[in-house]
Amino acid sequence: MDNVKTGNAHPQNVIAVRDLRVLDGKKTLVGPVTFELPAGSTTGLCGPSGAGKSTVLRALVDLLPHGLRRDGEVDVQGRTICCGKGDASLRSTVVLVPQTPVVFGGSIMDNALFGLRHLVRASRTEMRDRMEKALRESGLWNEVRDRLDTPAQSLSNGQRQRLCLARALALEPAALLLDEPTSALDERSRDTVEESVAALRGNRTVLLVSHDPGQVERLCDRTVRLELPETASLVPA
Amino acid sequence: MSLTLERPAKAPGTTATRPPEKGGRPGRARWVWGWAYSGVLSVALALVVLVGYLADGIASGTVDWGALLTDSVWSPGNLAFGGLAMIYGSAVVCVLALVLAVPVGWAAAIALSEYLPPRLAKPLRLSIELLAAVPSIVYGLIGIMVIRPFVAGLGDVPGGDSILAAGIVLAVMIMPTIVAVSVDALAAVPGRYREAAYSLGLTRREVVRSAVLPQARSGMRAGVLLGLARALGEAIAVFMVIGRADGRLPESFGDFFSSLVRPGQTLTTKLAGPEPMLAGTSGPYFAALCGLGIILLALVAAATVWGTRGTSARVRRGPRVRRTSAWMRGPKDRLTTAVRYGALLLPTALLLGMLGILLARGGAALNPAFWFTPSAGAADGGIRDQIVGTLLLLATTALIALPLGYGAGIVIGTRASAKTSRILETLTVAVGGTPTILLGLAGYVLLCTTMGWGRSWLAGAVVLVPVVVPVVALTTAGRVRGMPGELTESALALGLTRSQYIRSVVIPYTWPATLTGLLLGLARAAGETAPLIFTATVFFGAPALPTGIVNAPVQALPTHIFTLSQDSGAPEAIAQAWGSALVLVLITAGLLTLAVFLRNRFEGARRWTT
Amino acid sequence: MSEQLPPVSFFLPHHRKGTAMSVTSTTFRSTVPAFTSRRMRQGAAASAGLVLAAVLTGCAGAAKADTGALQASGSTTVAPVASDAAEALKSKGLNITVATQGGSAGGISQLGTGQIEIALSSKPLSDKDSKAYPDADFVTTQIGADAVGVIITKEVADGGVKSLSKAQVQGLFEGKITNWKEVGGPDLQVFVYDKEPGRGTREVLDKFVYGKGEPPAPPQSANYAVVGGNTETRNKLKSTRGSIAPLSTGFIDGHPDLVAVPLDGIAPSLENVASGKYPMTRPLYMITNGQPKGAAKQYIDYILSAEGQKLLPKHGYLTRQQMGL
Repeated sequence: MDNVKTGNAHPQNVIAVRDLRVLDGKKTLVGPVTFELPAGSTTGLCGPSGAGKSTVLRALVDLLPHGLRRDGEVDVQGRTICCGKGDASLRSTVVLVPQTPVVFGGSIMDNALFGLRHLVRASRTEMRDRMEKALRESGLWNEVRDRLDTPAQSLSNGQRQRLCLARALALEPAALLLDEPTSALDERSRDTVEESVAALRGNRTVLLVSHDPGQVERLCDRTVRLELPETASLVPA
Repeated sequence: MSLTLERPAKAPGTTATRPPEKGGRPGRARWVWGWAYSGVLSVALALVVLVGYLADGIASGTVDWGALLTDSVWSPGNLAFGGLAMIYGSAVVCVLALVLAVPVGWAAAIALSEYLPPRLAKPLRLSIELLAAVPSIVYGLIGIMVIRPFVAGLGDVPGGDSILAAGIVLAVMIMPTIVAVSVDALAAVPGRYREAAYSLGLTRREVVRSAVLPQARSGMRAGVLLGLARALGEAIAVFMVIGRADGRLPESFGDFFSSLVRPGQTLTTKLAGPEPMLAGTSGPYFAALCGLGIILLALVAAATVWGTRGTSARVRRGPRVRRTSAWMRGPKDRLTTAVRYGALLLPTALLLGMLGILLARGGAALNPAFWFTPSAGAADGGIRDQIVGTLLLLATTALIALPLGYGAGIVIGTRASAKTSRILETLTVAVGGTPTILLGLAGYVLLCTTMGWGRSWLAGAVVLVPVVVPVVALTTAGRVRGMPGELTESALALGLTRSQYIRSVVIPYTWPATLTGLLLGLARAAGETAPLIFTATVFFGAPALPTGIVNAPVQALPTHIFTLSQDSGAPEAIAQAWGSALVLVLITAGLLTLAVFLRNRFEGARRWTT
Repeated sequence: MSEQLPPVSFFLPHHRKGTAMSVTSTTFRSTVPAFTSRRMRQGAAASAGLVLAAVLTGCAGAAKADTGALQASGSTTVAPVASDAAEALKSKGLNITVATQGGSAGGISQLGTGQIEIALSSKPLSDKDSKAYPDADFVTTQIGADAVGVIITKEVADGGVKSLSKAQVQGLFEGKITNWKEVGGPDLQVFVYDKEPGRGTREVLDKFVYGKGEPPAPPQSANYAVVGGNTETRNKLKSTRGSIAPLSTGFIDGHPDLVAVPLDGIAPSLENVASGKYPMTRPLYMITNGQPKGAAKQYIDYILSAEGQKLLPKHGYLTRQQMGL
């Protein structure tokens, strides 16, 4: 709870969360949670299943299911955003990558540019460059560079997850929220996705939800534990 | 071998009942094919009977096809049979209806599914489906009351009986169908797609456009096709507002717009009019009418081909960056939101207006005695027997049409070859777009006279089946096509055969849509008048429940309303007509509520979390 | 089961020739020869149907005794009266169904093929009808009458249209007179609502204007529309300025905004109708095949009785007495 003061005071924090709670009517489902994401860090959010890890991520980007609401304070890049009305532009700053990879109809390129082409006014070459950069960053470029126009449905699961990652990276977000990115994958794909996430370390600010302590150990600088009751404590790794 | 060695004492029966891994997989579900294809067969059969009836009629006299297609003068007394003006009228009325109804219907569906919170959306969705259940004769009466004066004022013409009025009435009629089917298609898009798109920072408009609509497109298109089929086949409502003036064609482009506010004629209204009865059963007059029927069927087929074009994958060459304008995202989003909510206002206003009129005019229906006493004379007493008769007809029709339509829909939706499925779809829409008067006449000849059933409730139910089957089939097919690829993928990956896949994956996934389809179809059937008059109903004197099949007529609400509202001068007859209309709407509303309750239990509340 | 039933059989009308052939329910004897080689195509479909029919009627065989009702069908104009009469006879144990399929012409053709016992008609039998069913012995009983008026709006009548000649009516309905001032009325466009073909009222008008001649094709006028039922006609007349239509005069009672215009100076008053001076009247008939017997006779007798005649004015028509019959 001593983190309260450090919240806004450290501009190097991309996100600072204070007493964030998720409520169903009057009932508190998750929280209160307090933590922050320093710039360039990879933070693990772990805890037993049912503790509300995914819900916290969704609360951060204001994508809670109908009927749930959030309470508390969330600062993104020093700007307090919680808890007024959700704002689409926030979500392109802090991008959530859901657990199951969702691939839209259309080509690999269409998918990689899915967000970008709505958000950015840029020339075709510029868009292509950004897409390439994002695909390289997610480690998919070499596998798909020759078949960007093939349907994205043809990708393997691990590739799909990295495509989702690339789709998010293309937006140059201030922070990435990864919701159990490997839980739906087999071991081999898991390794490739983990490699991609590891490559982001130091360059991107990442919050990684995982129920696998080993994965958190391998990939994260710091850990936030979400306990089943109502407390969360910060354990520096 | 080792197995028998270890357990020598056991009877071989044990080994036999435990099949080897690859052998008899439980429930191969082969019956699925028999069932599905009998659905397709029923559609084909309906079409064969119709075309056979028409072809036989055409063969009974000589048809001058050149004149029928290019001449506009229709005067049986002078043996002039030109159908051009009717073809023109049908085309213009349908285009008008679609142009008015599709944008509003789609926008309203999106607002319902993507914008409104579920607790508001659910009752509203139900209400709009209820609108689809209002019998067409009520739409016609309301068209006379509201839309004719509107057109008269708009075009500064007397009366207002016009092609435009017909187009508006049809638009109003088909919009609920479009909304209901489209909402189904949208609801079937998994929440993950929305979440993935929202989490990239897209606005609601962008999410709908890029993530949701591509998934729902085929289902929404099915809604339009259904609407089109209804528009082409609808008779009674158009009948009352189009003016039915023969031979009117615009002479110049400028004349086109002024001709819209003037009376016209469509193929359907011509066939639904008294002329098929006056033409006898052979000769040039009857042959020309049958020729018009064939033209109408061909038009429906052509419209379907046009409407489903490009469903096969579009091939783009080379990797190209697709760009979307990222300009003024916020304002565009707000504007779209406003437009979509606005679109929702229209059906809502319609619903309230309709209810208002029905309640004001049909107050008799609020008296329970009206429901439970048999009628006395032409227009006194209650309408118990008519209610029972209508329910009997609907239940029988539903029993026959549900399996057939479901089967046909599954075949259309799961056919690997796009070409086959398109042909099947075209045939189905053609059946759906057949003016019901033709079904009635064909059913009358085949069932009532050739087979000797006389006037029979079963004949009525059978004649209504082709009205319902296409609706069930098309909604089901649309839903099957909108199925997420993973579902199919994972099912086939588990080693399911095609038939098992259909039984275990497709059917559970599609049945809410099928239910909607059945209700929409039954709602349409409930309001059908023309085919029943010929085959199943009498105006007065039938027992509430028939005791046999042959010569066992019933009384039904739509025919009761129609007869009373057409030709009775007595004020109590008019009151009873409106009361009966309200009862019909209430009954359909009750059925609808029940089905929606079932559907909601199945669909569950949509949540974004996985 | 009442005695006056026809024998339990169905009828298979031979459509082209209009002859009927009876087929008993259990054996389909003599059906096959009906399909001559010329009709093989249809026969194939029908035979499939007959197989099904055999199955279904087999099941329904026991329940077939249900044909106890006297069947009346035809004109929508006569149907309300016929229904009320049938209702009144219900208490006396008579079971009568009333249907409206195909109007007067439909009723007569069904009577001709033996599908019903009584045809309701709002037009006299024509030679065509008798020719179509040479075997039938149609007996008509007039139960009342209907005076058809040429109805215009009060605005036009007050504007100076006090009477119309036959030529003027013809000009109006053929679209040659397009403004009411041409016949002495206000400067207002004429809007013609003609009845759809086959309607009794239209035939009355055609007979008045053209005699035995055939009416021409409908005019290419923008102010011309077709209407069906009487209620629909009245609604449209009331809501259209300068409109004109043929309509039973009973239907404008209580509607002061509509006027039945005198023809050649003769108003459709009761006296003029009864004396036959007013030219546009039509009889309402019940038609039987042969002299009415049994239930049919009881039914028709009731309608002709003083009690039954009261039903006619209720639905807007004239009684026999008013017609001087």
